[in-house]
Amino acid sequence: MKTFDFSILITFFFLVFLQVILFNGFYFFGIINPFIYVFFFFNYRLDKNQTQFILISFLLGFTIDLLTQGAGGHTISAISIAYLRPQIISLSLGRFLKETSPSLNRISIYNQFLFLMWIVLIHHLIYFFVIYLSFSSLVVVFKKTFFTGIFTLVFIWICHLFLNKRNDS
Amino acid sequence: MQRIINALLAFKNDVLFIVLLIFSVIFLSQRSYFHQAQISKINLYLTGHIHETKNNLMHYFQLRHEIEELIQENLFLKSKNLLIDESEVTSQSNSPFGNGYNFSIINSRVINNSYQEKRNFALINRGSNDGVEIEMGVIGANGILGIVNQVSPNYASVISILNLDLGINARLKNSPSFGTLRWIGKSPYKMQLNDIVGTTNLAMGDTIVSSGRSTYFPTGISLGTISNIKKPNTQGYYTLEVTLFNSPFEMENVYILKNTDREEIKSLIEKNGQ
Repeated sequence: MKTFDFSILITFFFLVFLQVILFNGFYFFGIINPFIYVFFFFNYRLDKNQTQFILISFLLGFTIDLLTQGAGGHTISAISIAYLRPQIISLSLGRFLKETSPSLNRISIYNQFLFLMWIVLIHHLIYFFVIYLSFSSLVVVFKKTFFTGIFTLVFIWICHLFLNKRNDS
Repeated sequence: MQRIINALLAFKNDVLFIVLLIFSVIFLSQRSYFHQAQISKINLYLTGHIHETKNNLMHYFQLRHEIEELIQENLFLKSKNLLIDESEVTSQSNSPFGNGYNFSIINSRVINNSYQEKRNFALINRGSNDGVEIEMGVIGANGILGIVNQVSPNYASVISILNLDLGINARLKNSPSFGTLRWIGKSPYKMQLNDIVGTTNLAMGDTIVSSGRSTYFPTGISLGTISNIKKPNTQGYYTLEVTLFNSPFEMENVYILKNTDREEIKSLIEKNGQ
């Protein structure tokens, strides 16, 4: 029986707290509302059991939907990202996974960024598509994905650098 | 059994993902009216195409029966036409229903129909591209099918009169008293006509027609005959059981009625309300 990693729970609650209390109040340029909780999909260990990950991601999306009174877009995009994560990993860090032990910090910064970019792009695309749910507003979906994605990327990268620094020292 | 469990375990992530996805789509449609409408639009589009294909196939096997029905309807219409020709000399009305309303007709075919549920719906193969809008009445050869409640470019969904939520305004052919015709949810041929004033002269076998008190249907579409009369002692109203001539689930070729005066009537009613 594998023991449950409690650092996941701490990250979970911390991210929900950040997203609901802090980031949902941010409106850059009046409309852009970054999704900091996507950091969870980035930071989760690469070799962990995927079933557990899908369940936790579902809970994360569902909690955020309930707390922000969203319709259900966070839940759908969260489980989709959790389901597609192995493919995204092999797409962006395939070479490194074979050589070294699967830890994010040992991977080159370029690949880390690529990995994060894929996750944010796919997550936002699914989220905004579900929210608008019509082919006639595809342009709006792409626009929103692009601009919100940039802000999410910046915030998650700051978060990542901050955590890395603390681990080093 | 063991094999099924093994297969499930091998694909457990995919199964889990699909289960959660279905759950979240249901959650989504429950929480937001916009998404509910959008999902039902997609649903209508898909079911429309599926049933059209199925119906096109089944259509060949029913051609003989349908031709007979069409001939009957033709006869009926011809007789009506003759009557109008006679009456045209005296009255100026040239509407096929001989009444003040103006209706234009779009013909259509039922491609899916149900009568086992408590709330039945039918699907017809005309949509907004053909000028169908919501809240238009739909009639068959000998009776009413229902009222259009949702439209996609090529299909429309119709609330059947076999639906507990729908009431049609109807009256007796020989008397002006009117009431509401509702389905009671049992046999697809039996309906109930309420609120007919107790002083009305009526007998078993009398014909019930539509009353024309709504913008959906003109006056005088024959619906059925009285098959049972009940009058509670304490109330001044009859409760009548009506047997339909033609139940909605038998209808194949139907006609969508477009009331050309609807906007005008509606605006008047709205003005009155204020």
